[in-house]
Amino acid sequence: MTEMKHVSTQDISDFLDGTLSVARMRDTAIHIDGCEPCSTELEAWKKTRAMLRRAPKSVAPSPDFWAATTARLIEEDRAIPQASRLSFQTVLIPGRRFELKDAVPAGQRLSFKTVGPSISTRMAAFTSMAAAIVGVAFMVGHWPGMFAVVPGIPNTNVSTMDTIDNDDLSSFVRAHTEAAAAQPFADGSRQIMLAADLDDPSDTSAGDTTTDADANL
Amino acid sequence: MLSAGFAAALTLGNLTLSFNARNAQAATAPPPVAVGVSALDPAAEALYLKARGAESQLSYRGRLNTTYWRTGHTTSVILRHMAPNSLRIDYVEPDSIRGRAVVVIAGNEWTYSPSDRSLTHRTFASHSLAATAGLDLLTRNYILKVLPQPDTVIQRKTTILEVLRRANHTVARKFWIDDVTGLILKREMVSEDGKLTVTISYSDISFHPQLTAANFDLSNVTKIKGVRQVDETKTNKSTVPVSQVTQPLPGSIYPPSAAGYRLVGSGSRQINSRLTEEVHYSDGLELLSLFEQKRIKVTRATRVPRVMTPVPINGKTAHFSRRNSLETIIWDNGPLRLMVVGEANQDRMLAFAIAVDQFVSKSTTK
Repeated sequence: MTEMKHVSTQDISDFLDGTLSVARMRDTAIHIDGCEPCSTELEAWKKTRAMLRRAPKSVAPSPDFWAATTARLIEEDRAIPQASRLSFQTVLIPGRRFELKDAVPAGQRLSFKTVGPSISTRMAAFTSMAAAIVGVAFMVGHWPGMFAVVPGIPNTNVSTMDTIDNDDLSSFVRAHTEAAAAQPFADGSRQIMLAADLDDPSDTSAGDTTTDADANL
Repeated sequence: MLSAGFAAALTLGNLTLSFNARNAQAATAPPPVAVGVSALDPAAEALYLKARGAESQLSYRGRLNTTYWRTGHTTSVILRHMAPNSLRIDYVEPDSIRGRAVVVIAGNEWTYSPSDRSLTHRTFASHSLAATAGLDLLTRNYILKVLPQPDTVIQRKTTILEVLRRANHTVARKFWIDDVTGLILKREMVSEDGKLTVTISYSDISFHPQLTAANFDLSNVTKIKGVRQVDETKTNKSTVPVSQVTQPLPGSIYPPSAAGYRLVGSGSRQINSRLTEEVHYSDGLELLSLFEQKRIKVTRATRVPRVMTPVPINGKTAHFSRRNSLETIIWDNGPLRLMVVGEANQDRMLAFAIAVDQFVSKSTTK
């Protein structure tokens, strides 16, 4: 196993989504298994996703939601003193520009330019968060079964996915060899060995346990 | 090739009824067509019968080596057999599976795997399948020939029985049969293009071993710290004959056999937590197995291990893999996932898969 630092939040999210590479999925699973903080972090993510999964499929805002939210943002925006606004420039609105140099003495100025958070900035952030929640909810809907092939993670959702992994392949082969053992010249012991050989843990030809669907020709 | 059973099943359409038709087909499979079949050499037949019965009638201990020439790797085991039905296999090579042990007694199999510290008990299903192809099927597709020159294997006199493909007279198998006991001491598998693919031979053997029931008892491994026992005998992972299946099977009807093959067995078991229908076809020497499962999401292709190679089947993407001498093809067809497993060469497997796919497409659109 490669030595790993703590798993980043992004990696935990990707890990749950099953979008990490095969090697990283395995390393991450092993690391999480032996790391208390990361394990706690993973559990927190799982709970969040479980909560999202339990949430109603679609939640429509009330008709006056956007108008009320915008009005409140404008109200709060007015209440913030100009000098206390320090954030990176993301959206520029004419007339709402604030230069750090106006509030900070020349010797203490940062080398980059900042502006105050505008309504649009807040709206953009709010929209991004909403989109992220919807995205996560969407992924959660497709999540079951993704752990079916990750070592160390209990496979509880296998029946919801059309997935054939190496264990399944071995089961098919076993079924074949059991029948083949009854054939002329089959040599029962050879057929038993054929099935048992397939479980060789060092057999790289067996491939990793990650699945890869839809390979096109 | 469409059999009478197939036609009946097509006409019926109803799932339950078609199973009855299938059972009837399995039970009353027509005798093989005798066109072009020459009389069996009596010496070859006698040698065949002697070899076929020897394995279960003898008690012996030997070291058996299997070399897969395509990959160049060898598996070596110590094999103990106590007549009539106790078998133990201890793995010696490769290092990665050294220590693995398999014991089979009267249809029960226990596998001890040191790598995952488990002792698994399964029911060995071949006894429940009618998958015994007879000499008639073998001689329909192959010619048995006793070579005039004797040979020796581990200092024992042997007679060589050659099995030639009737279609092109190429060698399919060679068996070195012990003159005294009838046990096959060495065997070779040869592909249709003449390449040696597998060699299986004893490097030593004793026909007077001191074997007792204790040699076939793996229960002592449970005393090793951390070893867990897995009981798969009650999990429907063993094959149940079709006649005893009470719930609807996933497959629609039996596809026709590949050329020269005959339906020799069928059943059902749980694989991947899914009810799986299994159908076995034999040409007398090789077995092709077809598995059918219902898909959960027809709109989403079945995910398969990354190492499987894409191959086209009737415009669909199937996936192919070979491990040791076994080849596997998986593909989706409408509501079904299909899989073919066998030791036949890839072209023959693919041809069979294409025929099955065409058949399933027709039957599911009706």
